[in-house]
Amino acid sequence: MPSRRRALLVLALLTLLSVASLAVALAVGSIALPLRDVLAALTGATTPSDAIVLDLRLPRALAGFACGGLLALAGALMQVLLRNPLADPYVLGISGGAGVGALSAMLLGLAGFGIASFSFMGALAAMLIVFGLARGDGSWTQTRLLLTGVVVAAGCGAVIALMLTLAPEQKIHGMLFWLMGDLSLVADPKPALAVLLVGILAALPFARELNLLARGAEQAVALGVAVSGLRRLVYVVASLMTAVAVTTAGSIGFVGLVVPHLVRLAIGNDQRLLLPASVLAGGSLLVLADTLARTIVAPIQLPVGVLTALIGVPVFLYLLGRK
Amino acid sequence: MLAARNLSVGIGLHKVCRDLDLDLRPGSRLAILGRNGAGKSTLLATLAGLRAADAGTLLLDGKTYTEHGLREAARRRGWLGQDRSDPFASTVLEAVLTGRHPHLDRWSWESSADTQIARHALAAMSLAGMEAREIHTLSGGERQRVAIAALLAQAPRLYLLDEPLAHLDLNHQIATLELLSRRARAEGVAIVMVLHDPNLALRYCDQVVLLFGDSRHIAGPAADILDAATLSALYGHPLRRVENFFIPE
Repeated sequence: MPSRRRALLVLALLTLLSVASLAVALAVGSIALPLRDVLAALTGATTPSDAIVLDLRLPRALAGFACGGLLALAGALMQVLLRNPLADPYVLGISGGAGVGALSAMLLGLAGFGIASFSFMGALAAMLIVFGLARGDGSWTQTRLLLTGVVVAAGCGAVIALMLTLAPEQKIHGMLFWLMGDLSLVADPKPALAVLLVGILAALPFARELNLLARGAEQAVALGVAVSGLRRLVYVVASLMTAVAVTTAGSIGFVGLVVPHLVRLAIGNDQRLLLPASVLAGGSLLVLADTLARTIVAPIQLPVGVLTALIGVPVFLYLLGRK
Repeated sequence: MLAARNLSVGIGLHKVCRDLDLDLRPGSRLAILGRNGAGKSTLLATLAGLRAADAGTLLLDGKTYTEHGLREAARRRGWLGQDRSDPFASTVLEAVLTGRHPHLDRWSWESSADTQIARHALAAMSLAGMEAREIHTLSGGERQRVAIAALLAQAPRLYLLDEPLAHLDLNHQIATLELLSRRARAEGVAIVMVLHDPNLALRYCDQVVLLFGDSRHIAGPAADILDAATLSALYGHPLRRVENFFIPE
């Protein structure tokens, strides 16, 4: 069990990592900028490159950080809620619902805000359907929630496949990018950052209760945890965070499943440290992955979801093998 | 400490007991006996306030569980369930410290005093030195003792234990029952446990509840109730009394 001091130290280090990843994202690109220029642009000085930093790279980097943090936190919460290490933010069908919404918007010829609002509505619809169908109480609720979510996700997957089959040739590229996760179309990172903050503030006060919930619901009740209310809170918060992340950047895979595990392997499973550490680690990972995605074979931009998996898989396997 | 009046307990369509009356005073030790599926765990969970009774009243220190609230109830009574599945890794010390949860404020972390209490609980279950072990590397009996240690760390006044002796070897079965009896005598805690051995119930408990599985029950002093005829009917298997022991035929 980490002491409070060690927890703060770990979080301070991860904060440094987050700042460093954002600095790299702002400096690196088709036009490489020295950090001095980046700092000057951030502090409001007029430089030749301030538009690149402030209008192009900063919104994208912040959106990447927010989405990475949202997905990692939502994944960590889902793993506790379902008491299942294989759970991720998408396991309950939220990204599937968002995907159906977003692809419908693209088929209808909508762009930007239209796609975002359709995908958010799709995510909310999936969330309400799963929650409505899985409602009940008792020890089977977890299994039933998981099964309902998996089945709804499978249904959404079939609809998505159908839409891809029927879509006109010129729209398929955009659809595939959306499905793999893509930060290039983000206009404004502020909603995602705000929701991330709300999610952290909603989850952290219950972190010790979540430790008990992860060990078993009945024992948690016996130790004084109001389990049914806590489960609802966790479900709603994790689902909304996932919906916002997916709406912002498409269904970026892997971050939500693997970042909580990476953090757990490194520092243990105390949610008081795991939840904030996952936010910082997930945010940094996605910022770095996106920076690579837009530079590695420039001027072609790769979908960031591919990069998160390509970075995450070897790191994860290394940590797993080390134990 | 715990008083039940006209308590009726059921699960689904199955009636576990009707009109059960119980009085547990400080120092009492009650065993719940019955066949598999008779509803022993259901009754225990009801007495722990984890599920609602169909009818009747249940008072812990003069108040219902609802009046106490979850947190206050958790400071007064502890419950040991049968489930030992832990999907995530954890050290033994972390597992035992979960018992301190009801004594900590929302933003407090476990103090060195809490850690000390957890270490004492581990030592009491002869697990001293195992603090840093990963629980998934423990044997079934060791995990059972870790769970009991967590209950000791919770330091309740009323202990409700569902098959506390499951997976324990003979040595630790007796050690655990001796420890609980000692606490009942010395500290005045009350103990309710689901047991499968009527001899241990007779030796370590002063009260018993027998559940026959068809909503009939018998409750009262262990020495008066436990005899070969009643136990033979309870288990559906003939038992003979040899000196002070019940032996299956």
